[in-house]
Amino acid sequence: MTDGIDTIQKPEFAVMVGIIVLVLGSLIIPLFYRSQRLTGITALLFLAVGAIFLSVSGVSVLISGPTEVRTLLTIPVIGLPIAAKIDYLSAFYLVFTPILALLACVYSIPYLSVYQGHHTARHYPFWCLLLAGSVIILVAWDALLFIVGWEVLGLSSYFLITYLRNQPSVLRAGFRYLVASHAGTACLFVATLILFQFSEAHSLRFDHIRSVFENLSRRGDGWVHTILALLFIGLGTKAALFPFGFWLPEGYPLAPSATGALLASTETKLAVYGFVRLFVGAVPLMPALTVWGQTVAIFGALTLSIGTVTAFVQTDSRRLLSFYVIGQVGYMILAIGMGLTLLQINPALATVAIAAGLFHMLNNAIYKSLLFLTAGSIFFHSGERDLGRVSGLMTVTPVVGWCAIVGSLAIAGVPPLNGFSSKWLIFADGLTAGRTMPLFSLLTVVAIFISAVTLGSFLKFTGTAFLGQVHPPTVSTRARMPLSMQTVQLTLALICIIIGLIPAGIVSGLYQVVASLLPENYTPPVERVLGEHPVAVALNVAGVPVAVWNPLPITLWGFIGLALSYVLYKMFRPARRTSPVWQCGSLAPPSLGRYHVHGYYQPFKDFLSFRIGRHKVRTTNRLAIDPSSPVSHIPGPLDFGRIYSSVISLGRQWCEALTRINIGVPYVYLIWMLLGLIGVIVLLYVLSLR
Amino acid sequence: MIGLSILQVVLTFAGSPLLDGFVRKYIKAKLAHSRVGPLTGPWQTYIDLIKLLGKEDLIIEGAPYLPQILIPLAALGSVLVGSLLVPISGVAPLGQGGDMIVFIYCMGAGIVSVILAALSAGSPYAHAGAIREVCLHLIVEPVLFVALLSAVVLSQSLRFEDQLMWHLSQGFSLPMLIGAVALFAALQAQFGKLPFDIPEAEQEIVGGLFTEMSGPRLALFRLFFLSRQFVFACLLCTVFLPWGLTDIPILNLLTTVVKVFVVYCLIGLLDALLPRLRIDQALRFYLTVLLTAAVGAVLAYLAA
Repeated sequence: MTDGIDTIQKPEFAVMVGIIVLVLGSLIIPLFYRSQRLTGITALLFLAVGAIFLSVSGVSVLISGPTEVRTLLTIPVIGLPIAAKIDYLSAFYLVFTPILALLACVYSIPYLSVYQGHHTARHYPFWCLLLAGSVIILVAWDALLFIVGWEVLGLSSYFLITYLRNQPSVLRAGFRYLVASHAGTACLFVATLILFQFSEAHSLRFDHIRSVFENLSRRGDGWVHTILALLFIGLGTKAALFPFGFWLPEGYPLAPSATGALLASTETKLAVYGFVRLFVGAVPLMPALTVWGQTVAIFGALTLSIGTVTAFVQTDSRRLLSFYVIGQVGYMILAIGMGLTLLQINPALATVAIAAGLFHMLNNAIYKSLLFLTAGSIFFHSGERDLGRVSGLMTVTPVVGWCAIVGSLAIAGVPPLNGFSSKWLIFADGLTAGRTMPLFSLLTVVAIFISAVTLGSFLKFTGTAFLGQVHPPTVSTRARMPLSMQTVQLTLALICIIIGLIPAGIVSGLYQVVASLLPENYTPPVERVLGEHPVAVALNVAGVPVAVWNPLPITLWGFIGLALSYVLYKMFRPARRTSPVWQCGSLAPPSLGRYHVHGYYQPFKDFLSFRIGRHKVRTTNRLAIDPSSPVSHIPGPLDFGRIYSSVISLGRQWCEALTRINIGVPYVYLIWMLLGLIGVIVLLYVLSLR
Repeated sequence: MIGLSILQVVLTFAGSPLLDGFVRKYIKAKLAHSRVGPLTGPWQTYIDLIKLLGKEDLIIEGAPYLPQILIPLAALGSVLVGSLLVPISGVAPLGQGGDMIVFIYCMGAGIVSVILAALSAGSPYAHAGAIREVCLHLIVEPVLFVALLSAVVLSQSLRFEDQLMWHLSQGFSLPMLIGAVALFAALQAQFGKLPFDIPEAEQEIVGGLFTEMSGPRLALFRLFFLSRQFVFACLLCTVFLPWGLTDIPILNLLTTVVKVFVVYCLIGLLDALLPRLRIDQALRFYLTVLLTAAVGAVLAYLAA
């Protein structure tokens, strides 16, 4: 009896139940297809139960320590064990991923009613499956189960992206997503096969992979580099790293915003998990890791620059956010790359860098969900995705307006919000590490510049859609936004503020999470690196703080300044009057004088383009206004999407050529069968000779 | 430390209009323009501000109400934090709370609130001004960072106090000089004075950011820009030109104010003599400054 209770209380059990609930949910939800409302409520129920189990298991692992490695089954013929384990890193993800998915689902139930003619019974099963796939990735302790989870995730997000499948552009983008996703998985799979080939223990468990790498590196670096390159491409495709990330800005904008929030808080974030899990947790400390660390960091910086600069010129709200998914992943990958490089040079700074990457990932998951949901609110109220066609929503829904401001300031890194805390840590670490590796200073300065560009884009996002006068006038006559949608956004905005105000606990926790992946006592204790202060984060080098960030006093003084300026404002009791916008004395309606979103930052866009001889290079193309038109953001030769699709279409042509054999005449079949028989006999004869 | 904080805040908010008034009267009107006008003296800026504080406050109809009121107030809060992060007297009162990155982002937050307030009015002129401000900010912020990068590399710390102490103990260094020049160039844009008052540009976009600001809110924004000028000038005068600082904070405060006064005079002179640049010219100018600052940073790496 006590055994039974012990089992039930174990976190593995809770995760198991969570996965089973989610899978069951995906099977049961379609049964309620008659009522859209019932479908939504069932989905919410299953997701809520699943999410509670998963989060509870995550919390219990964070408190009581990692679980044992469990061998779930052994694949008979090759004797390959399939193992699972929840360690601190998995637990960290398990805590927040299901909750964010649940919040997005609460929002999506009223939101999806905007899309008439699309049945939600085709949508919610894949939410459950996506979450189940994510959890499989998180608890997998061997490469094969990891890939299985990866596939579940990829396939279910394909169906989520192609929910509005009556438009051809959606199917096209979905197809490209599918191809890219599988190309990535194929890379992972090939890497796994190579590892299995060299594995003496005949096992793909992560701890065994480490010893495989150790053996391989003794023989020379050729195989090691091949495997790491394959892993990099495989994970980089899912993380939407430049140039493998072409699928993301095509796919995400076409999904409903709530789904975009779900995808943005799971898919690319799990790729970051993959980077940490495989590159830090499964690769031993060896010279090849330093090389790949620098590569990863450079690709991270490239990704964040290109993603953000492309987002800078977007006017479609969802597409802007999708490019920011890429841009923000760049920060995390940059930080992780810096960490990988520094692991063998300065373990303390390396651990901080990886922890900073994970912290930024957490923050980004939160504010990116929030921003996708506010973009959804724009669509809910106006039926528009183009920022140029709607403004002044703040007057219609003040709560959402303030949430949008909080989210925008958080992604732009305005203190004291959460986005600033993690960016601060990345920048401080990069600049401190820059003394030994000047490359990192350069990359950090690039990231700092890009952070300012982010600010510009999000001032555009809130400035056009939420501030100013209401436009079009029909917006204010539409139905009010349901309370549940507003509550979700408010919750996310509050989380942004709270994490921003007390980052120290999370940062030191993440430091310990990363340290637990490394050999024991490899990194100095957390107090010596990040300080002992309960609220402030400090970066110590040799016991001396070189960078500090203490949000509470800073915010307090900011509020004192705010109060003082309010006193000044009220000092002479000025009269107050409302007046129309001044339009040079003309009596035109305000809508005529609106500043159009396409004209935003034109001087800077021109500044970014330059000439080589006679040829003018525009780094920021003026994009087509039609949101369904394909995106051209990558120079031709680097557009992997084009390469992938051309390979696929070649394959399709061959298959079509093969089908010409089938012309429906029985004699031709007989001839083929005869030829085949002869072929088989010859083959058997040749084989018997050996 | 609390006393020092209060002194520093008072100096920032009360001292900066006085400095501005002095420059307006003696540098711009008398020295450069040889004007004989009804400027009452260094007090003129005070008089302007107080008069504006008592005037009618116009709220734009149809635009969200709260952002128009609340966001301008946040701007001053950010400058207050910024002023406490700079070691004006050799020690930063909030030095344990934030470093160089925090400082730059806090000052950036002030600009963000100005821009949000301008955008919330919905006026096309305010939009044009806001866009110019963002474009300028996009290039000036990296200049600030790269200029300070030399200090970071040489002093091996991101904290202003450590950088100041390093500079005091090491004496003259070429990368810091280049950094100072770059920071001085960036200062002009941060001051919002000619030739870089592009976001306001009264003759073109009728005040730009401030088109729809009136009465007390305009006064607050004026005060925001004035105090911001003071804080940035203090940064230049402490981290990059720390000479003359001693162990006595009050004395240091006076030394810094004298140095800041010289910086104000120089910028005032440039303001009086130079015409306004176009935004694209300004961007190109700051690109050159950025590259110069980068040379300084490279030299710092070689020296370290």
